[in-house]
Amino acid sequence: MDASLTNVAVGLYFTACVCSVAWVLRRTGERYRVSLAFSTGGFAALSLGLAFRWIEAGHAPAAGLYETLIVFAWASWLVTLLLAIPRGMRKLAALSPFISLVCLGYASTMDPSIRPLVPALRSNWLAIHVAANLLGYAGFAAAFVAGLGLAVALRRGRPAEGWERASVLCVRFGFLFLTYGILTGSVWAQEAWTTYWGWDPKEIWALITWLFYLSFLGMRAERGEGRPSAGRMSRLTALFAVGGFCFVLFTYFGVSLLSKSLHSYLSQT
Amino acid sequence: MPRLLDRLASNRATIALLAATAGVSACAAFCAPLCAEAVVGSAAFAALLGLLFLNLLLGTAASLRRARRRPWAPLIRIGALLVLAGAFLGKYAGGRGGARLYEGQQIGEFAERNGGLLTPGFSLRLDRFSVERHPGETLELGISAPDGDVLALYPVTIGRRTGPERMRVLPVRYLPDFKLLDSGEIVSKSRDPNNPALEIEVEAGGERERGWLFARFPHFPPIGLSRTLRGGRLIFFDRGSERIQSYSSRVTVLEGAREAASGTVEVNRPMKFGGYRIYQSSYDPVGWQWSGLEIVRDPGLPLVYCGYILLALGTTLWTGWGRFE
Repeated sequence: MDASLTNVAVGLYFTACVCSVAWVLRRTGERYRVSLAFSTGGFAALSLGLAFRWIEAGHAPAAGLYETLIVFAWASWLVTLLLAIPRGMRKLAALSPFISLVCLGYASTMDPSIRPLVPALRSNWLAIHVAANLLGYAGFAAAFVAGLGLAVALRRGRPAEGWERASVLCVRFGFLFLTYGILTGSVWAQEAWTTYWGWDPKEIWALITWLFYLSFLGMRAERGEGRPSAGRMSRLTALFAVGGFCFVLFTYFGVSLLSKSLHSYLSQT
Repeated sequence: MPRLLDRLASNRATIALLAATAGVSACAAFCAPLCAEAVVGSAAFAALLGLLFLNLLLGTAASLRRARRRPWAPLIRIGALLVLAGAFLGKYAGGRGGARLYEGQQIGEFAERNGGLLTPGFSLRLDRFSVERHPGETLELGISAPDGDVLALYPVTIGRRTGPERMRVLPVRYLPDFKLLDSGEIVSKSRDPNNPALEIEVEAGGERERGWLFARFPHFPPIGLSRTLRGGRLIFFDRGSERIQSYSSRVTVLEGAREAASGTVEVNRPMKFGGYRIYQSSYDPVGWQWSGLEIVRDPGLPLVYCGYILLALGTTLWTGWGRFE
């Protein structure tokens, strides 16, 4: 059931992407609204699919790369619903379904079967920790899209305030949830792995990602002499929003592939 | 001296120290696990964190002066300070050690990672070690070459045909603990996967017959399938029985000869006694004979958790109400 709903979501997000491209080529309010409607439909299908999977598996769908990719796709549109649409950030809202579609496309190459959890994952912290981290990642993914938009706008000499505002807003959101994710993961690690911080590669790269975005927000919050000029600040914002997402991707995928991590079983289950 | 302290308390120093911490951590992450432990456990890294602690401590005074306008700044700084203070306290005043215990065995000394022995003042007796598995949950059928290499794998669902095109294989029945009774009846002795077996019906070359495959004895010729398989090899895998669902240890804490406490320790559910936490950390992967237990005393843990609460609160206020424009 959940696999069928995921397929429906793929179709809806794909249609939303087509509508978004049509809207970018010729901006009519109708095309934008149709794109939003298809994306929201995809989000609803994914929500239902995740709920069915949760019931069937008996645990939160947050174990393994397949499940986290589906949640990532779901969280990406949730971020858009919470941040971009209410603030009228139309370009960001129109581009967001692409993030969900990429996640779902990647997930479709994996085995969707439900596997039993390894003992360490049998905890209520699983849902909280993974959801917090993926909401954070989704915020950073939206910031990445906004950062790219900002970079393009700056290069073409077009007004870039909207993109800059969106980048900062999404980084703030992502940073907040990454903080929650790291803290809840640490409390869980104390219960499951005997220590709240074991210098595991995944932990280290999450910390590096957190420090990277912390330095960005610290720079944005700086007042007085230390604050860069407006133009420089915009360029730095684009750089941090795009560059930071590379750290996110490495923490999410790269660590498990390149090094032996306690978190590696996430990609095996 | 005051100028040096001013520099150390500055935001630039915070950024530099955090960048240095991130850099060293990144190097540690790229090293092999043992080397990573050496890097983050070194005196130089402790000194770097000590400098960061000093920087946060000095900077907190300044952030407190602006607390009315920016209440999140002292919260985040004090939170980070408490985490670092708790980590130092745990590192230098705490202790951890592990042991492998067989059922009935009692131990009062636990091996530390540095080769020393931790004596917590009590001993631990393993009363019972239990392992739960998933028999029958993930079944597979493999076709093997004469040299034993598995050429192809097919998922197994009871009552649904599987296997290669030239051979129709119907899985009929799964038994986790196969037993042939004197009466000739075949039953499962228990629900434990002691001898997982799969009954299959094979149709090949116009012939049909039923027989048994055994997951624990892949080289044992299948019973009753000589005509249809004709020398070909089918192997049955009960992946679920190899996968641990949960494992737990029933332990008793003894002070001298007195039984001070008893309880069950399992992953995600440590037991607390006398300032120590007793963890289920590992198990014997072959035969599930011994239980790996770890005892940890970390007096810095309450400080770390207080720091986490302040960090979460400060970050929520900062990202929600801070000015970044």
